[in-house]
Amino acid sequence: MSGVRVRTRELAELGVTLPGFVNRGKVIASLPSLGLLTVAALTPPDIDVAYREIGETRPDDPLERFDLVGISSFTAQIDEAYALADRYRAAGVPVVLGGLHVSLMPDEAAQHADSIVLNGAEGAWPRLVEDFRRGRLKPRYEGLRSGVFQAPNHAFPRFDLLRGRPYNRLTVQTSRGCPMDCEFCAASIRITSGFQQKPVERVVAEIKAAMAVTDHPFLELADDNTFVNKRWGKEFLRAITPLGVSWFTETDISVADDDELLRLLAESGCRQILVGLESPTEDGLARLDPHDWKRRHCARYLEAIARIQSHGVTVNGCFILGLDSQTPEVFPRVRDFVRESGLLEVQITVMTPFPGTPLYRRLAAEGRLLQPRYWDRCTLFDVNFRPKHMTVSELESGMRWLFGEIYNDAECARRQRHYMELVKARMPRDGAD
Amino acid sequence: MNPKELESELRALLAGRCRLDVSDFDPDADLVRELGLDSLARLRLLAAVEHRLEVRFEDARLGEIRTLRQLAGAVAEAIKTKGGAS
Repeated sequence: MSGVRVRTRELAELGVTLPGFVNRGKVIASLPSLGLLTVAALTPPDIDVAYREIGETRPDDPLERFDLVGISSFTAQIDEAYALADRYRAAGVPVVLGGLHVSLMPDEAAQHADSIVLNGAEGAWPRLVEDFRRGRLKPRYEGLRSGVFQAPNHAFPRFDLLRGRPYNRLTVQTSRGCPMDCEFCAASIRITSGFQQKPVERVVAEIKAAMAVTDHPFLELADDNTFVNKRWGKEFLRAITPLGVSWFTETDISVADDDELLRLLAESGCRQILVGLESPTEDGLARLDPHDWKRRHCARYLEAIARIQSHGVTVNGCFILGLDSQTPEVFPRVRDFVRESGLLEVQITVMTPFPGTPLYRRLAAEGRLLQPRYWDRCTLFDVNFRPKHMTVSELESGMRWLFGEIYNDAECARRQRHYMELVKARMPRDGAD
Repeated sequence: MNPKELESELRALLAGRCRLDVSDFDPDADLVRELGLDSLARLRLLAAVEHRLEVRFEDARLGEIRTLRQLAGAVAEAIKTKGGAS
């Protein structure tokens, strides 16, 4: 289950008219579930496996017949996952729920499942299948929090299950976790005991397998911070350069410090890196991560973006609105920063207290959550908390204003022109890449 | 450069950016949806065409160039504008 959604009516109506917003939404909405491909890989070969997206199952359609159903979902779509799970269970088909939301809200998820899997599937799914065969399915299994990429725990995702499906990007994971440990983060850091990285040769093998199932391979690394380890990063980039693949990943701004890494990034086919800039000013970044890493690097943002993009790798700069230190001044500041920086793409989101995160616990303790349960509004675009230095209404209207300023036709064209000029500056006369 | 030569030049630039045989590719097919270019690859193609043919597309039209025929039209327009300006 994947996709982009917005609950607030005014923003939804505005969003569909803005080309920049629509384009990124289409990309995110079309990513397959790497977690389910991993579950399939961990399933013994004598068991037939089928992969389905939630959109393929309408509430009124008869249920497909299976012996066991496994469902994974992100928070905003979890109620649809629960509804599907309830339907299967009512029909007598056992259901297993897993994924990040389930790992962070296990008691809630257990009400809709015969069994739940916490953390990743590695270390849990093979035991679960054996128990299921013997009719002794347990209510809860815990996957590994460390050593997931080491033999014999590692599973090679079943990319072959995606053959013939209309995904325009495929995902491969090279790492789990991130040393930043930002308070708001609801990604793999919540299900891992520390930063874990896959051996390069294994990543290369997975990329080759993913490329084999599509005519138009574009890879998105399902990482939270790919280049934490620069030495590993360079080995990885050298290894994938001969594959001729175009790809995208998420990392932090420190990649700009290493010219060799940037050169290898460009040569390897990396088209874009997504960087969580979060806020355009130092004061807006205070206490975001335990080491104030982002605040200390903020002054270099513009220079770093220019250096990365000068190598032909574009930066998708992400900003979070509603951080505790931000005032309504942040909206024009983000707009000005985006214009000055020449970022090719920009992702504007609202601070979202995902259940199970340190941010959620803090805001709950401070009595600042607007509703006790708001999972369908965990879209990154809907406000679910009381901001510290502005009202909810100011945050919502400021975000709408900023969307209009950044995602309109003229601004998108201006950013595209900037990218084209960067590309041309690096081109030989015959126009080859 | 006549229209046939232009189309041949554009096909050659396109061929270097995708894994498909573009020699008999429908000029009205969508470069992203049907030929598999991603959004950045489409922009790099436009940049290569500008660079190779020494033209410049109007910024406001960049998002509208989605097919080979539209690309050829944009080049013709850019050449005309350039000629008129010189």
